Amino acid sequence: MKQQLQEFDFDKSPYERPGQKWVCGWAAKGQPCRISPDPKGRCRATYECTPIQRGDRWYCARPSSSGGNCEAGPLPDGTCCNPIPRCQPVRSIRVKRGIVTRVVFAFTFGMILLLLGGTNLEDWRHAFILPGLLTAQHAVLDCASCHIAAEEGKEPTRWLYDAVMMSGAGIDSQQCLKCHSTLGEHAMKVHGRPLEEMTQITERIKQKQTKRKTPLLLSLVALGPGVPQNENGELICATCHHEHKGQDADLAEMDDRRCQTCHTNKFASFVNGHPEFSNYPYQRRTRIIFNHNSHTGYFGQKDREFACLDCHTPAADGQQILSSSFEETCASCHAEQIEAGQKDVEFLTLPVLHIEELNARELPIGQWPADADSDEEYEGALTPFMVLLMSGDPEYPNFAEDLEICSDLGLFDELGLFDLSDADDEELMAVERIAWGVKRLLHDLATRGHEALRERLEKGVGPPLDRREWVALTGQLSVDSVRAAQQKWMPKLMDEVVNRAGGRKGVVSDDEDDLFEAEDDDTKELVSAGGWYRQDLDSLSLRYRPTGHADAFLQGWLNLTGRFYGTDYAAEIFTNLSDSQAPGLCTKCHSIDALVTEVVAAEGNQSRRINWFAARPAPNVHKFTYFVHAPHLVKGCQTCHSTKTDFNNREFKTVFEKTDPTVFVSNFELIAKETCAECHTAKKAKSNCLNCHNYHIGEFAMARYESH
Amino acid sequence: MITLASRCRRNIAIIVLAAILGGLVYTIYSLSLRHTSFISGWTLFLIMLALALYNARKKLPFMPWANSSTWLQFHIYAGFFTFVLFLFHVKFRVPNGTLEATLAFLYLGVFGSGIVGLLISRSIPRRLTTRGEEIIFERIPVFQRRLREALEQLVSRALKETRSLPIAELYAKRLLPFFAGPRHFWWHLVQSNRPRYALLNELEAFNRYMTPEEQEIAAQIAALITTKDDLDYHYVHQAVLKYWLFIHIPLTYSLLLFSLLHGVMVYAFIGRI
Repeated sequence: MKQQLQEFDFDKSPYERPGQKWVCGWAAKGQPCRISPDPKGRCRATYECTPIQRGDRWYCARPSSSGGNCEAGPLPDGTCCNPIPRCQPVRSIRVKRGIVTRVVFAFTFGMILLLLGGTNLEDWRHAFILPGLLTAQHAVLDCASCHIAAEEGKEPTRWLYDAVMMSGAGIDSQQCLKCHSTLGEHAMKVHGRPLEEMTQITERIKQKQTKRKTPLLLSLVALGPGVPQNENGELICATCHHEHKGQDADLAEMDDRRCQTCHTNKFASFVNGHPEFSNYPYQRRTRIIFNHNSHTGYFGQKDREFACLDCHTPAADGQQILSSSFEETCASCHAEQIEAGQKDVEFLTLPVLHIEELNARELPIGQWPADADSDEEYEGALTPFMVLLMSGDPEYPNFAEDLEICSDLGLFDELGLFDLSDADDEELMAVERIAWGVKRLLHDLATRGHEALRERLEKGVGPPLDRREWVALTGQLSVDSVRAAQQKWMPKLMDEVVNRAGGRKGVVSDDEDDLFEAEDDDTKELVSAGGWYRQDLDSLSLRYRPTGHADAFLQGWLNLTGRFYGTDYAAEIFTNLSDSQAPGLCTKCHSIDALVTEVVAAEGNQSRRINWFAARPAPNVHKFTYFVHAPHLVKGCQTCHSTKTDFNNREFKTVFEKTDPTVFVSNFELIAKETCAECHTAKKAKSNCLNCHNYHIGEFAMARYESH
Repeated sequence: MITLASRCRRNIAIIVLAAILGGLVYTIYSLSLRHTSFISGWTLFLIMLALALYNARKKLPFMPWANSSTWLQFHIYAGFFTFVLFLFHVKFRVPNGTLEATLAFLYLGVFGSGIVGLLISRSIPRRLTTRGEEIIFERIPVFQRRLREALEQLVSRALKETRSLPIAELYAKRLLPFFAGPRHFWWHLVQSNRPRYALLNELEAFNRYMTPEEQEIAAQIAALITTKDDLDYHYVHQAVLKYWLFIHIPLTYSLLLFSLLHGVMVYAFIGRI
């Protein structure tokens, strides 16, 4: 039979106070005194009761809960007969819990102080506060590389100050730009583009915007706090790029809906709501003038298959489809055409002059070949190359205006200066100065060769030429050829130029025997492989014959003069060389783009660029949209690139006569969004924004860490 | 008066509503390219601070700050809500920084001990009613002493009146240690009576060798064993009810301290423009 332990009668159950700080030391042994310790933990026990005196007798006053009156009763002097042995009070459970709490708190606080303030504990401190591993590409960086707050001298106390005062110790995004400086001056603006440009794009999109259903959540976002930007419209890098999420974290990870927060058009997915493609992917004409439609016919005539991958191959990164080289593709049909139809470039020609008239007016120009002296059999005019090189003559300022005067007289016509009988003195003096300019040019080339060419070009066009450019422009001109020409045409040229430069008359001899007379000349026939040669029949000139496809001399001059198309002399050379029937036939296949470059934009002029190559990978060019061809090839090229059935070949050709690359007629039909949407759904081939779109737009190289 | 079930339903509804609203605000912030960690972090910290104030509230019973029951309800349901906030704050990932991992560990310690505390404070009172009588925890040592003294008297009587050696032997080997203090902590915690029956069986095994007088004393000793075992059961369960706070409260203050440090580090190192 079980025993009843607990009694709750008022006289049998003492009142428990578990909230008190101290407990009787005997409690653990089951014998607590009923007095209990004082609040400071001192034992107050004396006797089990304080006897009561009634008359002259003392009575026991022990309460019933402690056993009631004792048998022995108080001593005669009124003292209780049951003294309580004193104890060592112990703390209550509640107090013990408080102590444990304080100890743990103090330990935590001490550990934090030690880690943050301890000397020689920097490594521990950094390891402790590091909020997670960096991505592999940033793994070599230390804290101070990205956080100004971690720079040496910024003690932990400063962190507290910065945190409390919000003093902005770190304009940390600027730290990012130390490595990512290639993002340009607008790196922190939306899409890395100037605010004005983005405003224009937004306005354009708003005008195009069609009515579509905005997803509810994206509508609610409009009620939110908005994108965190400063007054200049800049965002911090960490808005989108979240570091310290592990080595394999994707820093460019972005929810599609987050992209759309800023965007005017908000839609649910690529399939549902994404705007239709307007002119994708053809935003400019091809660089090489190649008519796929007409070539389908040519190939058919030759009974050859016109297969895409015979001429196109995927780039190494799989992103772009490249056109193979001329030799691999076009050469089989067109190399012979180019070589067979080569014309020469007339580089330097002695213009026909009316020497008798000059001498009669006492304006002698020294030796001038007899054939170039008003001989009807002979033709010769100043070439644009000579004008450009003469503009680099040290005395050019003295005869710059003479070119205009002589131009009116016919300097640039083949027999323009044949008869100067009617010219006034001023005009004849201009002719005389031009003639000496030609002589100085020939002298300069004969004595200083390629260096003279480079100096005169640099003075004529402005900026210095790099070596590769200069080499191309010389066409490896043989100085011996120049000297031979000088010896044959003007044997006393050296003395004449020296005398003239010394302020003397310049004319050394009037001896008619010294003058050159043309003989039969078969040199032209001997340079069938191309290169420089002198012509002494019909004209006295130094000529260049292109070597074939991709002639470096022609490319060099077209590049240089195209770049400085805004200047008269360069424009004339460019126009002559870029005619579709000009030597080299370059522009028959290579289109010309007009573009405003920084060099010439200041003068408000456009430059010209010959597109020597088909589109090539431009890893540093980041457009809003990109496409990786490689994984799509399994679908076949013509799934997306189907040729037009009603194509106008004449119109195609006509647009290439103009220089605006954005005005064009494509051989192919535009790609419709539905074509992509067949596979690009959320459940199939994904349809995230970043599958096709870049955020950082512009031309920049990806940052690379420079190791020590 | 509101029933427990109704109160639970009401509070859960409030929590679910708060979670939905919070989730919506969080999503809007997230889609606005804002650092959602700030909103989730600050909310989490402020709620944790409010939860920690419950301990202070208990120490200031005279203050008119709603009754303790209301505070406890808030403590429980807001505590559950912090777990949702915590998951959003760590973005459902395991933190890999030392400070962050320490914080997460502390939070989970506090939350886990809180869950354990809630479960035991709901289940143990029910358990206590199934065994023995209602016992005040602080008096258990007194009752233990009384039982021990009662046992000693019975054994003395057995020796004097019957010279019973089996009882003396059992007392010396098994009963004395059993009655010396609370025993079989883990067995009681898992609701097992195995130690009690083992002891009673041992006592019963001597029955056939005992005289009727000895058997009567042995029956009384068996009753004492049962009472002592029930007393231990109460001790173990009430001790668990009191001692789980030795984990929950100290971890709470460490958590708040580390949270403050975390906040300082975040604001010192956050990139600004």
